[in-house]
Amino acid sequence: MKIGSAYIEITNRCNLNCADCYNASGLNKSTSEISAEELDLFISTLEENSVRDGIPLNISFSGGEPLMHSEFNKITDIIQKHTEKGTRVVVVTNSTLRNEKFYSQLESNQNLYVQFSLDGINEETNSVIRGAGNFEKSIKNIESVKSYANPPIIKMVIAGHNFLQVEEYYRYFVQKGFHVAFSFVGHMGNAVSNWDTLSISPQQKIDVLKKIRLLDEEFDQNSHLPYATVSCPLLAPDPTFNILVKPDGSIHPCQTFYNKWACIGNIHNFNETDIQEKANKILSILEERTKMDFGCKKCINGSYCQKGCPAAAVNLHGNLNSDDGNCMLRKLQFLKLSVLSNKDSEEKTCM
Amino acid sequence: MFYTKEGLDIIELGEEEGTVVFDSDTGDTTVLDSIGADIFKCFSHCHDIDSVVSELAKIYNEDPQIIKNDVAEFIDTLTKQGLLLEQEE
Repeated sequence: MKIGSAYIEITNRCNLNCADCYNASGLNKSTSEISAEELDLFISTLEENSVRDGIPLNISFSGGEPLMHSEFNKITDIIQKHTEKGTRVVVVTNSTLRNEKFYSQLESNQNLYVQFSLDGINEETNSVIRGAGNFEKSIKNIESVKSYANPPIIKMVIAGHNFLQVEEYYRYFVQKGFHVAFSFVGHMGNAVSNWDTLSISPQQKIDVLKKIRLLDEEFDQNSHLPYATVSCPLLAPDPTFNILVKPDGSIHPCQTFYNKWACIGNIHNFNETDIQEKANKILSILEERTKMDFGCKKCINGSYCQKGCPAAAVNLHGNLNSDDGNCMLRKLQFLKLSVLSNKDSEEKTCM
Repeated sequence: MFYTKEGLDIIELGEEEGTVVFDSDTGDTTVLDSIGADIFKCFSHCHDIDSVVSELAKIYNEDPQIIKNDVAEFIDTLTKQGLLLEQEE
C-alpha cells in the first residue's frame, strides 16, 4: 500500500470554535491525543515504507489545534528529526497560538512548512468564523517571523461572508511573499448547522475560481484552487494514499472520509496487510458507486465524470450512494473554465 | 402544442453567457442567449404559442405581435434541433 502523505490530527483540542470547523474541535470536552512517542514511531514506519516504495513522504500535523498538544515541545523535536531525514512536514495551525521553538524552526528548517488559517482580511470578516479578537493575534504571529525558510501558506475557507474579499486577501498576502490557498466550506462539523449562511452557489464559486486564476496569472502564482473533484483519486490504478489519522489513532483512506465505517486501521497496531485489505474493500464500494446514476445519464459531463467525491456525498447526504452536491459546479467548471478532468483538480481538491 | 424534450441537461451560465442545453440522446449541445433561454423556459410550463407570447410580453414589456414573430422563428429552430416537440392537443 503506497502512502504518499498522512494528515495527522495529533490532538482533538482547540482554543477556537470556528463556525465552519469540519471537526467541530472547539466543542470537544475530553482530550484525545496521539503521544509524541507514538507519533515518532508511526512516522518512522511510514518513512521506511516510502523508501521501499520510492515515493517522497509528506506529513501534516493538524487537530484540533496542533499547538494545543500537551507535548508540542517534544513534537518540535520529532519535526526536526524527521525533516532532517527528508520528510516534508506541514503544520496546520489557526495562528492564534505561539510556540517559540516551533516559530524559530520556521526560520531555518527547509523541510518544514506552515499553513495558517485566516478567514478574512480584517477582524470584522474573520471574526464571523473564527471568533472575536483573533485576527490581530493571528496577524501578529504570522508577521512575527523575520524570514521564513519556506513561504507560509495562508488559507481561507471561502464561505458566504468572505467570498467577496478573496481578491483583497490574495493581494495582501501574495504581495508579502506568502502563498495563498483556498477551499470552499464543506458540509461537515460546525458548518452543518450554519449551512444556510455559509454555503455559496456554484455560480459564485465559479466567479471566485475565475478571479483567483486571473490573480495567479497576474502574480505568476499557482494557488491551491478548490475545483470540484471529478473522480476520487483513490480509484486511480495503483493509488497513492493520503491517509487521515485521527486523534484516537484510527486511520482513514483520505482526509475527508471521516465516518467510522471508513476506518481501515489504527496506528497503535499498524498492520499494513490488514490496512490494505480494508482499504481494498472500501475501494470496491467506491468503484460500485461510479456505476450509479444520480441524473448522470443526461448530464453534459456524463461521459467522463466519475461521480465526484464519495466522502463529500456522505458528508452531505449521510449516504455514499448519492451525489456529492457539486454536479452544477462541475458542469460550470467544464463549460466556463474548461476544467475537464481530474488532471487539473485532483491534487488541489483532495488535499 | 409544444413541449420541451424530456431529459435535457439545462445549464444556466449567466446573464451574458446564456444557457447551455445538452441532449444526451444526440450528444448535441445548444447555446441559447438570454432571450432564447427565457422563451425555452416558458415552454416548460406553457405549451401553446399564445400563452408563451403573453408571458414574454409581460417580462419584456413589448408588443405581443413583435414577440410572436420572434417566438415563431425560435420554435422553428428548436423543433428542427429536436429540443421542442410538437404534439396534437
